[in-house]
Amino acid sequence: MDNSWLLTSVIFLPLVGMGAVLLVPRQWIRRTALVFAVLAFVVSLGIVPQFRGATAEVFGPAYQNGFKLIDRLPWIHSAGFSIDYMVGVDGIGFPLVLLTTLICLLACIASWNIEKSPRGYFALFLLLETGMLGVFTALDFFLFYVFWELTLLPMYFLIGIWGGPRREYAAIKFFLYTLLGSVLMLIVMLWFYFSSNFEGGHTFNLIALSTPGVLPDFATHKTMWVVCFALLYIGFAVKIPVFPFHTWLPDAHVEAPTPISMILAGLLLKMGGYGLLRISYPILPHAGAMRVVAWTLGILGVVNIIYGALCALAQTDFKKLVAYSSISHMGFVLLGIALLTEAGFQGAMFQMIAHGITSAAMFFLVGVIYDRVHHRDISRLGGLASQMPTYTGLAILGFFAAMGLPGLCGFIGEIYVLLGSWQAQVLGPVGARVLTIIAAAGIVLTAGYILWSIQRVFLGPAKPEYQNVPDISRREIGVMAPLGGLAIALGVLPWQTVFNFVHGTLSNILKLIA
Amino acid sequence: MMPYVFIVAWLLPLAGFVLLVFRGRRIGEPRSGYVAAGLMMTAAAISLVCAIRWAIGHPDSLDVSAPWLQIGSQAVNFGVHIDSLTIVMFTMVTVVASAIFVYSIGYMHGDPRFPRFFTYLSLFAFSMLGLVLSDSLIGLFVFWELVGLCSYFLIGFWFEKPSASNAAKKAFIVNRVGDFLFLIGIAVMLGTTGSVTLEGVFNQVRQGAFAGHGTLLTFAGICLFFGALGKSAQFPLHVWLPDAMEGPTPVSALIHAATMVAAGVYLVGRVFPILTPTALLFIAYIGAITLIGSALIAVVMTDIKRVLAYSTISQLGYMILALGVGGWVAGLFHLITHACFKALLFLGSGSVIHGCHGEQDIRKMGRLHSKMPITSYTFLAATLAIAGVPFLSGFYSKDAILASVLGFASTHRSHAVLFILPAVAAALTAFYMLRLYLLTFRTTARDEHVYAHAHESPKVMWVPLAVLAVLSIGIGWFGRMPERHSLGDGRYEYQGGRGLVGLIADAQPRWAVSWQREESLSRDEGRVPPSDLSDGAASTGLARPGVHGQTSLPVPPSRRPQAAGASRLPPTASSPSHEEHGFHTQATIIATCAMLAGAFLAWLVYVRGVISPAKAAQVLAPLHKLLLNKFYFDELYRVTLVAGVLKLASFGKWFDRVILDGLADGSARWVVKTAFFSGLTLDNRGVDGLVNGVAKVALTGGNIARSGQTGRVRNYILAVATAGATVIALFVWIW
Repeated sequence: MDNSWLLTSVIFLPLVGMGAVLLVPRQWIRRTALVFAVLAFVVSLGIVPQFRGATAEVFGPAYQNGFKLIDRLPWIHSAGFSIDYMVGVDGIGFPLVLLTTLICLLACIASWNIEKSPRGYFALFLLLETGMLGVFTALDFFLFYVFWELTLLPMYFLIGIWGGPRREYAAIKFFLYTLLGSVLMLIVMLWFYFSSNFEGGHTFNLIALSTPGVLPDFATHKTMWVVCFALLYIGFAVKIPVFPFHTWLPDAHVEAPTPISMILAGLLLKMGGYGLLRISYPILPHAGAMRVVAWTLGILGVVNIIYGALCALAQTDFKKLVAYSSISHMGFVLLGIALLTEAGFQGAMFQMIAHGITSAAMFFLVGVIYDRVHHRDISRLGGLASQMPTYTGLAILGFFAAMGLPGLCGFIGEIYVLLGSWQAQVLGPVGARVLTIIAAAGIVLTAGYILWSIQRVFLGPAKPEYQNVPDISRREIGVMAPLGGLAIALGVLPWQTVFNFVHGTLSNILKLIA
Repeated sequence: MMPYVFIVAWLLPLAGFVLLVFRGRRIGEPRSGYVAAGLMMTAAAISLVCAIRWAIGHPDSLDVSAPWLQIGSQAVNFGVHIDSLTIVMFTMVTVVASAIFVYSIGYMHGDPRFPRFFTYLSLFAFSMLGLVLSDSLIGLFVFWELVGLCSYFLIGFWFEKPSASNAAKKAFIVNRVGDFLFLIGIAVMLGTTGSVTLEGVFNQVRQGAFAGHGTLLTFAGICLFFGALGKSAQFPLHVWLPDAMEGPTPVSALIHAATMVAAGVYLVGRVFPILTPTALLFIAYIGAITLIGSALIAVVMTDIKRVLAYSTISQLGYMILALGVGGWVAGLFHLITHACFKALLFLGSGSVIHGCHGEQDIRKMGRLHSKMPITSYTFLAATLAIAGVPFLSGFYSKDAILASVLGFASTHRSHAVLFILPAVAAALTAFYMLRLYLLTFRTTARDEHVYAHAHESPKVMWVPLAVLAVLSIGIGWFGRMPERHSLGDGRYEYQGGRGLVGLIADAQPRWAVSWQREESLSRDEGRVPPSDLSDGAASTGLARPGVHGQTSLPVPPSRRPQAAGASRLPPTASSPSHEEHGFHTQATIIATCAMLAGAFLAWLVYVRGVISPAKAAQVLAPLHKLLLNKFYFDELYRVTLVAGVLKLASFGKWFDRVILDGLADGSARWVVKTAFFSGLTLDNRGVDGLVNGVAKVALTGGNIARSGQTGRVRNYILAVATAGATVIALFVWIW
């Protein structure tokens, strides 16, 4: 059965939705957007059967044959360029596609109370969804780049127009940082293209580029590996974000409206980790295997974990606190990838998905409070547990999932990364262990800032000024319940929900490096 | 069959939890308590039946597991391991929990969050039972954290009180410090042995997975022990337990005295085979420091629950010490007896607090015996049990511990302090417990108001007290049953009864690193040659005439492990039995003397009034102050660790905002300036080039930003629509 149309329709359904949103009468805008978000989600579920069973045949013996649902059409073949429209998914793309359609659907519901020019908002929102879906499915570097840039524009406007008081500053900061990264990526992209030798010509094809021998110059020049890896790394590190390129994130989050924060933390950051797994390591496996690279990335991952947690501890703005917790959690992704162990890779991938769920939940929860009390100053909050019991229950579920409580999704990613990095060979026995111990100490700090914020926000005597604050509404429960349910499901059955689908591709990528 | 019955019993509280989470508020006040207590009692009944069947039937251990995870290439199953220790622990937890659930129906009466309380209690029972059943380090860790979570919720149950929410947070964070090292210990085990199940780890270690890496094994053992150290509130992570008394009293009884805090001891017991002599010595000293320090503090505390809290820490110290010197059976036996009498003491104190309308200060109590006789008698039973009065449960287990320690100290004269401290603490225990009892229930009524309004608790509260009192008195007697038969050449077999001690002894490790004389571990010998340690450590046992200690070791030949290196029995098996006799008799005499001395002193001070406590405090003012301030540990941690982390945190915040953002903003400003300069000044004079590119980027950004300020949304929509249309058109055109 030919179902190559499936991915293309998932990617472009939101774009069609954008067209529809621009055309329909004003009172239909929200519902139209929701319909297309739901459609994209439902259609994306069609990918699941492709990966059922999860045997070696599903993933293929090598990284290059693990792709499913490939849709390939020639796009630009002139002036000496050969650029294809080529999309497909494997074990690392597929969960992120599902995560994207789901989080976008929930963010769409969370956007229900956007009053300021909803037409523009939902149009940009759907455009953003297309961009992210494209990034997670593109198998042609040029196409990847186009989609990568496509996410930048709507995000810029969504923060810059619908954001808080300092939105211009935050938006331009976000824009410039990301642009810096993409310029470097562009250089590497062209470098790859003109160095490649595939079927008698150059190619942007990511699968081809990851095949040994396609980049003949790179086989011998160590400097070229490192330079290209570093340039690509900066591009992705800005997105993850890795210290010291992270300072755009807290600003962007604080200013962005709630649903956009959910998408930003839940999905956009994953583009960085995904880029490392899809582009840096498969195409430059030798660079990834180098000690200096592993050390650098490993140390930066640990710095992210500790530094992010410390900064979170010092914040008084609730949303900024959650933003720094994202930085801390994404450190586990980088650490897991850097040390090149199977468990670490699996943990990093799991952590991306788990963090997609928990960070979306946390930003949403902060948004719920903000909608009611119109400020986010932790020191002025307090006692909400007696005012909003249901909300508090859900919030505690979300925060504990982020903290890495066993039985919830945050735990699995962290423990995989830690157990994996302990065994890492690439840094020698002592180095990896020292990094692991420092990273593991981060879980104490995490408990510190999470419990301290729970205490300051929810516990304590009820405050008179919040006496009439209503508990969480049905619509809000509708957003939070799937996230909470997934946090439990992923924590209890991680293998059936995630690892089953990702482990084959990840071990194939590792095989490329080894 | 058996494991599945246990799994059903284990899932009953979970069912209660799920039901109460979703329907708790509707089920309402008394009924949610009935539901939870009913399920718990069903579980207790099931486990009692199973325990008896097991005791009669001599079955061997049982394992069930299902694949759960694969970490890298290493499969991790979610498994249940049932041996006689599991059964004893399981039964203890369900029975004590049942008593406390029933009691709570009375104690929590009228609380607005009554159903919530039973929700948390049910989740706790489920997690604690899961911990007991787990067959792997990961499984232990998972439930370890879950019981910690329940403890957090329950300490902070009255979260409106800042002291309660502070205590809850403190408990969780202090425990996390231990957990982080626990996690590292698991990482070492997985990394070196490739397994996380206890069985797999032991097999690998036995086959020499750590050959030549003795230090790493010691490190791993100490890391795992740190997990126990947090949960069992041992020095230096003991600071959370006294504060945890902010929770409702039934919680203190169930979680912070009887079950959860004992999980640390249980963990040490489970991982005992991989603990090296150095690690064990470390453990023993931690236990000894803890038991004496907290016993001293308990002497000066005036809050009824805090006295009991420090007493709990001290008793846990005894268990840890026993395990550290190799008295495996003694330590775990004390865990069980302690669970009974300490739960009773806490419930009794809850009854007192309930009867005195929330008063917790023993200085304001006195003569309550006449007002609440049942509480008083049951409390007295527990007091005598914990003090070690002969033939009550605490006597047997404490004597067993002292005998183990004495055996160890007599072969290692340099560690004699390990015996002296617990012997002194035994006197202190008798003193502070009698002080507590006398000041509360006897002597004179020091506060007329409290006395006048005091009343006995309702039946739903005193019936559990009575049940626990029976257990506190008699549970040690069940240990008398097994009888030893010589098999010649120094080996023995147990036949006849399968009492409590016999059951515990059945589960004890048949092999341990510290019993080995292998050269492979020689690097790790430290100051204690392993062989000596095992001689001393294991040659001691229980102070009961019928058993004579030797529950500890001899393994019936049929059960001896077949694996290489394990065929050698622990040296104890052949040690002459008159020596054991010697240790028991001496230990019994010393312990009883110490108990009598402490009791006599309490009698002198509080009954006869020969010594005035106030005067004693004056004479020993510096010591008194030191103890009242609990050796200043809270203050020490506050000024060093907490303040240090917060300093670092605000440094991070400053660094982020000032340095990193300063760099970014500064360079942006510089680029803009350059752009204007080059665009307006240089470029106009015909000089373009280098900076132009940069300037253009910045200018474009600036323009977009500026247009963002205008907020004319329609323009952007148009632009985006055009862009979108172009993209689509492009695709269509190219195809």
